[in-house]
Amino acid sequence: MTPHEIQELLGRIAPRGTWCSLRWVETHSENLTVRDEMLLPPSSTSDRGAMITVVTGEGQGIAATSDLSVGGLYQAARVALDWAQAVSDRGVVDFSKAPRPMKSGNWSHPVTQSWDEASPADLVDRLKSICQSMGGDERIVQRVVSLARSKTETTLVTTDGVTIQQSHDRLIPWMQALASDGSDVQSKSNGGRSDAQLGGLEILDQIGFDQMGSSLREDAIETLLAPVCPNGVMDAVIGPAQMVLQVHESIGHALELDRILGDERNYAGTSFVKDSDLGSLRWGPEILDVVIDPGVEGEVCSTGFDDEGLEAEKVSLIDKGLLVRGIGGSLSAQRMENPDAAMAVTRACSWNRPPIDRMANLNVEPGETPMTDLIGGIEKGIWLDVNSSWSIDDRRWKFQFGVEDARLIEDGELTTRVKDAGYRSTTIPFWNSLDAVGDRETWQVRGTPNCGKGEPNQMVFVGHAMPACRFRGLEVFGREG
Amino acid sequence: MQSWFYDLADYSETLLTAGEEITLSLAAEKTGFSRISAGKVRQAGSIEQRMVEVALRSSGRESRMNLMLSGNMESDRAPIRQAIDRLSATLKTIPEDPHLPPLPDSGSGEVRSEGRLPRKSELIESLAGEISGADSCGIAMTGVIFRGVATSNAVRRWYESPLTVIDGSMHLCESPGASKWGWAGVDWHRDEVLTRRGRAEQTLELLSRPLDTPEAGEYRTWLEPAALRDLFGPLLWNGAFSARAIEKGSSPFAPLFSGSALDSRVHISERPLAVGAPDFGAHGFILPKEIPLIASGKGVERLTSPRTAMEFQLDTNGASGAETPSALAIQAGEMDPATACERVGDGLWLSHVHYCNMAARDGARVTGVTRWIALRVRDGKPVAPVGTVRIDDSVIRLLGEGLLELGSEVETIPDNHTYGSRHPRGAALPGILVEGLRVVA
Repeated sequence: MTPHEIQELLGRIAPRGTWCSLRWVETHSENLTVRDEMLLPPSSTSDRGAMITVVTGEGQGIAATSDLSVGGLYQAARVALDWAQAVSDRGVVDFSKAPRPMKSGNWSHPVTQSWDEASPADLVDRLKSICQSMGGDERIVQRVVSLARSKTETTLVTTDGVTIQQSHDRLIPWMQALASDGSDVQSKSNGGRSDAQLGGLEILDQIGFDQMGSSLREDAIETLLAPVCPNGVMDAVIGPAQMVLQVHESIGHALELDRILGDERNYAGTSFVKDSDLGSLRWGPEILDVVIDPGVEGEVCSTGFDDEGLEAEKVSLIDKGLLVRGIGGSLSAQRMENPDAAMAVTRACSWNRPPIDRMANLNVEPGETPMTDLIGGIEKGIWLDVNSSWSIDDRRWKFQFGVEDARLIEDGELTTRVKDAGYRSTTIPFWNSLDAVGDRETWQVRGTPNCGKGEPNQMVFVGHAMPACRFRGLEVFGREG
Repeated sequence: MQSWFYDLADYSETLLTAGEEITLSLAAEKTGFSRISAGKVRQAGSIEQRMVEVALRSSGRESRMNLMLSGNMESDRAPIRQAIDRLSATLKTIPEDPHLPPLPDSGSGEVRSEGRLPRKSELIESLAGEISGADSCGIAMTGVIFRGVATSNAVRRWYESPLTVIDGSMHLCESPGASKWGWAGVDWHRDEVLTRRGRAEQTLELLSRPLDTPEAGEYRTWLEPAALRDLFGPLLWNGAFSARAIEKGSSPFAPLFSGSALDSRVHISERPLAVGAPDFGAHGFILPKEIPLIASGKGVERLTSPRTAMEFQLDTNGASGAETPSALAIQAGEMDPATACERVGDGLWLSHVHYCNMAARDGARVTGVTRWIALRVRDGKPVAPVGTVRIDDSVIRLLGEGLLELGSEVETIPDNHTYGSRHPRGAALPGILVEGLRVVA
């Protein structure tokens, strides 16, 4: 259905005297998984549905349905109206005064090698070949290579006549080697689920996916044979794949306005950040710059608009170490009495969930220190990369993370690989221990398909472009540490 | 819903060509929800969805497609037809699957529960409104959940149940304390909900006292059923009872199936009926009433999916592909939970352990942080809330040498996760009293 037809449809189903929006979402997903060189049954998904939002009086109600017939949508609009009337003046705001989409537009991105034009048999052969390259050693007890694609077409129309159409085509390449000697088991993956990208199959060449298998095998066996990570306070260089998790958990979630407002208190949690910290809290040293950037090519949440129709633009969150803005869309910014601070981050995972504040492309800007100097500046310390375990409190203050990839740094050189490495700290002291940010050569555009939040729960993609960074005096530990 | 689904299955079978077999699996819901922030409605609405997985097989190959359908046969014939055409074409391009299990044996069954659902206003009021000195937050969800499986070899399985879940919390305005509460049931009982809400409100006085945060160390601790569920979470998704993960050695509980043991009072099973879950899996295999996983502390059976059974020449017990329990059940012990603080003496009382993750497979080591009702116990009495402290301990140790007592009451805990859809599953667990729970900085 074209955006024009959807706009016409809204005109037919909208209850009289109300403001309505209709968000029509179609997602087509594909998944191919090869395990131990055998293809598991290929699977795909065709998911279509619409969410109707109705505002009447001060109340707002929503109804989501997979019945996209005129009758089905008409009925859904009446259900949404019933909810709006039930909510009435009991909402967190007077919804008749809530911000509404103002500008129409279209957004899509280039795809060089579309999944739709690829031969499934060729893709399977490619995955099998990678899987094969991970084998050849009996200590590798399981090899998994998978390729997933998720293409989403979203059309948002309102009774004000606004029409926004967007298309996002995402690729999630993943592989994992499991090594065991009968008593210990170690796994290695390509970035701990942080290799999601926006684009087509060209991404596989860009990240060298076909060549990763053999190095993953070697890394897994080397880790299996490695000593357990020592306990102690030491300097650390955190690689881009682990920085994804570090920034996601201890900056991104902490800065979400709906957490600061208390909406997430019952589920994902709240934040140690207070309204008054915005513009005044020193988050880290002056070398730290954190942004929401919807314009990074290939980053998984590059976009033109959010799901409430706000146009996307690059904004600074932490400017030279100073916290300047939280992550929130139009409604949250209005509730914080700072509507100009709104950014296009109100997103829904699909048609059956309402949009809420989410990280989009949350990035640390590259610094000036080359990798050799990051490592070279440590006499006794550790390299930490690729997340394996994550836990943080509900205020986003106290955390403990584990990594797949750890090596000691001695006299400015990477030396012994160690296993079962973890570290713990608290957010602001941790970020103030940052003393070098890697240059653009260390900066990687990465992304994850697994950010969970919201009630009802929502899982969304989040983009993170990260440099390697160096931290001083980190509490590091191994098994039982 | 049922007649539509079975009509869909009948129609699908007319589209098959020689040698093809088909399985249709339905996950559908009609849901109403009200999300409350500080006593006011943040979002409220309805969700109606019908996802059908179409699995087509031929010549030892299978391909699957998930379709979100309208519930209207006129509209749904075309996508089903297109899906079968596409899957049929895919089967011609993929290699034979040596581990493809046979379809389940033909048979039919129906589980249908009935109960009253709350009205929209009742759903909103369950969590909305003012509380003295605190904010009420949370989500109330209600509606009917549907599951169905139909195969071309005459399997017809149906599950349909209303379910209302109140998942709430109360947050003190002047201090960080927060109380958690909830109610779940097939039949709506407003009075029971109000009782639970009132009980949660009563805990706020204790939670408002100055923090008494323990130093790093080891503490005798009572873990409520929900806290035990939290600790099990990452172990289950890392294949604790998965036959495949145990065969590969990657299960954190693999040692329990090769000689190591928990305390002999520990009996763990998969028991779908304990939480009102369907008695069949997503592909139509009937689940036993009970699968004993740990008996007298030792590994007994494993969750074995039909595919794993084919791969490792085992007997399947109908487990899902992920081989995670839909209803983890732990047998009660003898300790009265009402005496928990008295039995702790000097230590901790924890309602939950937040954001758990597996820190190491070795010992099934889990890390998480205190949240909700976390109390310092001294001289056998709860004296103050504890601040946020990190727990980092081995679950094998906690249920082995560290186990002092199992609670005498089993609590049924619904699975409140709603990623993608609502899920009719949960856990039935007692609390446990443990020695030396490890608190780190």
